[in-house]
Amino acid sequence: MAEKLVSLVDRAGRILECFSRGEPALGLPQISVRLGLPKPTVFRILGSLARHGLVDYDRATNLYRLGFAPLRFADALLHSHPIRAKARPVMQTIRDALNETVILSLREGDHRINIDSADSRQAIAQLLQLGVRIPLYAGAASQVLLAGLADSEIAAYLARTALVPFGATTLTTPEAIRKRVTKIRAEGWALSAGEFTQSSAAAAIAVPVTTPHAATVAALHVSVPKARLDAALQKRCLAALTTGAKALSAALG
Amino acid sequence: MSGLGAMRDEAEAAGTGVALARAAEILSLFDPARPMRDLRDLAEATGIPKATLLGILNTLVRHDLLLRDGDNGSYRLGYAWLRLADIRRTQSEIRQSALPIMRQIRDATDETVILSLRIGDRRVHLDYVESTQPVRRIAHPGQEAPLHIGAAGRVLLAGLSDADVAAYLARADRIGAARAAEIRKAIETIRHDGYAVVAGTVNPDTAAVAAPVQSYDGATVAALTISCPRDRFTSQIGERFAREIVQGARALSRSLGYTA
Repeated sequence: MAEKLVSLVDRAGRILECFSRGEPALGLPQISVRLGLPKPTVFRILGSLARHGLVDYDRATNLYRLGFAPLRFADALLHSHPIRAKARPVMQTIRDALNETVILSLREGDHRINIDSADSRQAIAQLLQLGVRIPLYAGAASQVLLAGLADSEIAAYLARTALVPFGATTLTTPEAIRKRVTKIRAEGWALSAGEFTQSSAAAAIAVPVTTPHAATVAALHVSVPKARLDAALQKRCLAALTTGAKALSAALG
Repeated sequence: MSGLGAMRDEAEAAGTGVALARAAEILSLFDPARPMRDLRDLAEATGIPKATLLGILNTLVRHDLLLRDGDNGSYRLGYAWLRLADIRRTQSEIRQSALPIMRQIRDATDETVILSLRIGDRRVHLDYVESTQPVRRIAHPGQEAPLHIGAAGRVLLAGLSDADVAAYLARADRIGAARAAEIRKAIETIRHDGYAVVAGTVNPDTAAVAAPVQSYDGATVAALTISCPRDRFTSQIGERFAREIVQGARALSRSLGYTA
């Protein structure tokens, strides 16, 4: 019985994973095919998920989409997050100074996760994904978090990680990543474009947030359409990020 | 279908219900007041045997719905919720069109602006843009209330046909004849004025002004609300908020194709 229970929870988790930005609404046949499970089984699980607000069924379109419960859980997560609460006003200050999207990210194991953003009010702002696991070797914010690890930890990470090219500029050799880490440690910030996505239209400028003992606990970065990023804007971004990271470090200390 | 097949189906349906109810029960224990919980604590709170509980917890961790803190073995909500909430939010066309309008209203009033929808008999807050004042209304996405309570819910209720309103009042809990008459009268006023004003009914400390968002076919699909601390709310401010929210809701309705 316990095994059965666990496998049902696992299937429910897999159903939730079917939904994405590109496919926010799915029909029963699609989900059933994707998971290789019989329709009646999927139908029963969807029914239970709907009862708990995890999915909604739209009678008009005969499609399922994510419900309101994820909004509630995400909100609970963010409101109890020790760093996010203190980072929020800092992020808003940076956003107001630059009018570009500002993102807070953390390291969770071998990944970076964007946990919150203060969005640019400009019409062309970057679409960014929250809560997605991004490898520590791809993108400026990831590398800033990676550079905060000890050399032995970085060596172990590189030894166990397959370096997959997500975009044209992804660093795919341990040497290139070590070189980037050295540069970040020397300069205190990182710049990247198109390392995690196919498109190199978005550039990121990232700085570490450190504790008084100089341990890196988070990264703050600004996401800017590359077309807008000239030397003057880059300088302004860096100045605003550095001031913000210092303020947040002090608030955390 | 044979009798045995039907029985097996029923048993499976019951098993699915139980499994997900357990998982949902575990997840709902994590809230801002208690963000971290350990195994013993969860076993006590749910009454689920530890071996089964551990199996469910491991599964939830595998799907990033929970995180296990390596240092002390306690659990907290996982980052998959951010991803799922993000998908849910982005998906909503209304929200995308609403955000710039909500920001405009917030900038004009410096009070919290909320976007809400009707899901069945409840109004649900979908999104909000917060006031920058130190004392401000805090709204939570996903927060629900019955339709007849609060400005946003009343606006959504007023958007229903008279027959649907009557059916709602008949099936809603604890609404007597007197209260139903009072709600009907309030709905008439909302339909006439084009907005709802409520002070101190959901929460004694807050006041709100809400207006309906209508789609191309004239159906009320959402409500926009300005909400503030009650002691900042005067009749003069109420009138100003009503003008702002009606104007904003009209702009949003137009972006959804509403032309009248």
